[in-house]
Amino acid sequence: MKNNPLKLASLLLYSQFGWALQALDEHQLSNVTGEGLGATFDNVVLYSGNLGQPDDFEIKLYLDEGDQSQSDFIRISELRLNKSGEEPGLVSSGGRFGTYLDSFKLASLVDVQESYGAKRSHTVFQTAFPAADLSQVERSFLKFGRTNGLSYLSSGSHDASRHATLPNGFFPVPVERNDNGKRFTTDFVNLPIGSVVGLGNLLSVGNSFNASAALFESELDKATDKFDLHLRVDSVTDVNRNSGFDDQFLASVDLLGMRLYGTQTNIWARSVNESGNNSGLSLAMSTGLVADSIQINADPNGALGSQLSLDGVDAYLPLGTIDQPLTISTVEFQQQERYNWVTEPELRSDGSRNPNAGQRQASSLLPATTQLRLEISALPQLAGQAEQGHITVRQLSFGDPNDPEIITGVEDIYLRDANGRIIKKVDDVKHRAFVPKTVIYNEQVEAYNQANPGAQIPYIPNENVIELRGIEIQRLVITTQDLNRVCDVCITN
Amino acid sequence: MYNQLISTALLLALSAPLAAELAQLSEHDLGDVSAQAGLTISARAELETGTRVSYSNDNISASQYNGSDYTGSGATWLVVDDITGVLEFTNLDVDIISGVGPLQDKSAIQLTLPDALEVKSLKTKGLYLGSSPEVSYDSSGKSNSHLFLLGLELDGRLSMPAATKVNIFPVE
Repeated sequence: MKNNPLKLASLLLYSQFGWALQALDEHQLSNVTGEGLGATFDNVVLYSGNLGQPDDFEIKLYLDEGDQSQSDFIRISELRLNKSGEEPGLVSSGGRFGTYLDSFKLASLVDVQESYGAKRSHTVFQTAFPAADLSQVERSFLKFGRTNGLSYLSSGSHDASRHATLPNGFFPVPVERNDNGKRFTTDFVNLPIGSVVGLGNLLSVGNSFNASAALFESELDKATDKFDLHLRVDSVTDVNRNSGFDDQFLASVDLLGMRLYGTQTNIWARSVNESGNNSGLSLAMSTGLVADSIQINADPNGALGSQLSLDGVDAYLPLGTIDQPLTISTVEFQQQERYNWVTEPELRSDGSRNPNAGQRQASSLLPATTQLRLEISALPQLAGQAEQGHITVRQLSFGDPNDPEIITGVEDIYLRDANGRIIKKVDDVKHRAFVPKTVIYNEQVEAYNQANPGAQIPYIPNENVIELRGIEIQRLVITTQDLNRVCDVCITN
Repeated sequence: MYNQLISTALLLALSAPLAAELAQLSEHDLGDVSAQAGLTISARAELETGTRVSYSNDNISASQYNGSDYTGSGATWLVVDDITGVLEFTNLDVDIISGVGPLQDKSAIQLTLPDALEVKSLKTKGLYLGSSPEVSYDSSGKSNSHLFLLGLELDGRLSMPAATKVNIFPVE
């Protein structure tokens, strides 16, 4: 195979187009060897200029049929991808993606067997990103501490009402006031320098927590560089069709320091004879994304005040498995006529109870049309639980960090050494909305350590402002319907 | 054999509409060559009005569902209709290189991507679903035979200024 460039090139092309997939028969299955193609990428840079400039690049998605010059459309432009931290569009700003042993697998045929029921074997067309075998690590220190013996959690001596991952008294309990023109001010009984709070095994468990994340990062480092991705999204309608680009601007999106892990797609065909309605083009996909920051800005000139940032993002989402695939098929579907929903009455005309009460009347059904159907079949009973996804975001930032509107309070921060002893008080530290207190504390630790290189103090594990855990799909069915744009019920005033 | 038939047929099918050119290497270019073999390809594809891709899929019949809202059977066609525009690149280098892998004992096909992809109004009138491979339109230019899903257009210059290299090799 490796001496056959024609086959390599043709398989490369094969990976980029969606053609009809048919289930392989026994004879064809016997020819499957599990071979495929891998690819590595060096010096990866994509660049397109600002919208309207000679070097711009646009992708337009038209939402209306007919004359495209009068159609509503979504425009994606200013597509830029480069190594994280580098200036976009330069020869020197390229990043590396994949290695020989952990490559981008762009065309592999692999035999996979179902785990439950008939345990049928499927030959799947597999595409996998580098680090596809890497699993999500635990990003919640509270959950990590519970399973790794964080001492004060088990003894109940943690700060359960305010900062559950820290021992009682680590942060002094504030006294709230509302005066001096401040929205609210917190104050404390002054703690003396040298006073101690027992840290238990906070630092050792915290080190294990950080080591887990560091190992994850080092594995990703082997597979791929971090990348920055930028794009601009515009929305063009009759309202702004003849206006300037600024009026058509919807948002710009920046993914900074992003990498994929655990990301792969398996595609195969499930025949209707063996799978019934859960047949058709079948997909088992998983996507993992880590990013230093995801920034969405609603100002065409990038004003900081219009920016939402999600910092410290880790999202892993499975969609379909070999046992419970996402299938795409086509069906003939009779949909309910819009604005003409008629249901069967509770009682018949003779006063007897109508057994079909609440069901729609056939008279309001439209003629059948072809529609797409997407389905994730019901979870096999033996599986017990579907594969789960988790999303964590360390902090959110809205606009300018010094904007008074997002300053939620001003508190003193007491910095502690490895023995829990207060070594310094930092006065009047601004606390921001949707930023965990642990992040605010660690910012002050960083400043202290930079000023005192010979007397470093420890960071504490960060909490997250968003944790979505255990995302799973038990069953999903989507059947598309036509949206009749003809004004059959008009609101004239 | 099955894979070979698919891949070879697709290669022939997909390369048919492309106008490709093999460029002669200059003295300067030759001085940089270190691989065993190489090609430099420049290509321009111009798609005329009426270019269409149609794909059919058998509907799942109503009998496969119990008590559902679905009806009928037959086949559905996904049609990418009226593809027009120009796609062009220059100097895509294709080499066969050796010395890759952790023991530097493997070979690979190495693509050095062109410095830009030039696209001029490469667009489709729409992606449609319907019961036949061809879409018919009324006087206003709207389909009276198929369901319109989406129209798509690409236009402009996508730069790849860093001589991006892609190594392709077999894996197990």
